[in-house]
Amino acid sequence: MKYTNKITQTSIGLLLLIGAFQLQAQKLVDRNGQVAFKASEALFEPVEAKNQSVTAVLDTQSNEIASLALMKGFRFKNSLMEEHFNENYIESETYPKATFKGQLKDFDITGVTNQPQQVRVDGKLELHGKEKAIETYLNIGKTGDVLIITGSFMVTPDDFDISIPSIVKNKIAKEVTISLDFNLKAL
Amino acid sequence: MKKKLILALSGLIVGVAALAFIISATLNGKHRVIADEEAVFFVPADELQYVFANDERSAGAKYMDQVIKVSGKVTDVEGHSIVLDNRVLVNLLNDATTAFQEGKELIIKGRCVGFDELLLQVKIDQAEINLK
Repeated sequence: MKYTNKITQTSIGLLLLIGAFQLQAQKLVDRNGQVAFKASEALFEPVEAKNQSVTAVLDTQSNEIASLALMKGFRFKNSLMEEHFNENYIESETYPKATFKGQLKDFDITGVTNQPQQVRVDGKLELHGKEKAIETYLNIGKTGDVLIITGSFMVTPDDFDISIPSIVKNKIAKEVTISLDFNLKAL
Repeated sequence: MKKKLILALSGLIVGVAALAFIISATLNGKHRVIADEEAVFFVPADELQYVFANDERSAGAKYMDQVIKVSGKVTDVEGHSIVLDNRVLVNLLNDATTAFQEGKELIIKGRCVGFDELLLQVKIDQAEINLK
């Protein structure tokens, strides 16, 4: 009888432990998310690039979301533009990455359906050694066990102390649209 | 007189065409073809991740944007991505085959993009595979 008691106790303990681990492991990750930006002006060559290897992590317990894009991962159609982006504007050797850390507001993972819903996110975008507060709405839905997050927001080169030489000033938009597309899964 | 005019006009056209060609060639410079480049370094996956995790700046100065060969065991496969020794995330060229099983020892060649501190992994893109 004593033994069975001990066994029950141990197994309850074990179950609790497993439960605790499951709660901890509520991170959804995308290792190859997409982030693109557009700073094109009409009549001029499009200024746009895409990074298809952006990391995004969502903690579904705390609703904290983090994302990281390596600057060298942004690919332009025009290789010269890519070179200028890295060397003159973003200075990717000194500032190799952009990070976003934020919080989803009033978000409940259990309420997510196939029909994307708008969720507010407040956070900070850091790039080129500067930080900017970002408040925007994301579209969050799911397909099977994949959480799909899309959205876009605007920033300016000024926000991040990126100066555009006057010679190309009219070829680069004052406002840059950043769009994102993440497919997050439990790893 | 007419001949001279035609000559001058055709000269002008040829000149403009040449200029246009030069401008478009400089503006649309070719991208690097990583697959055609020789690897500058050859490192095991765990060592590469270790140097980045330890001192990102100096590791970045050495490896970032360089074509490197990395060896390791496949610990994860997802689409065109493989993970070596849990430490290096490799994105393969689109035409590379991804029929790799976990546990297989591989050497890959690709471009080092940098260190991802969320995953604690070094990212490599435009990679191709040399089976060990």
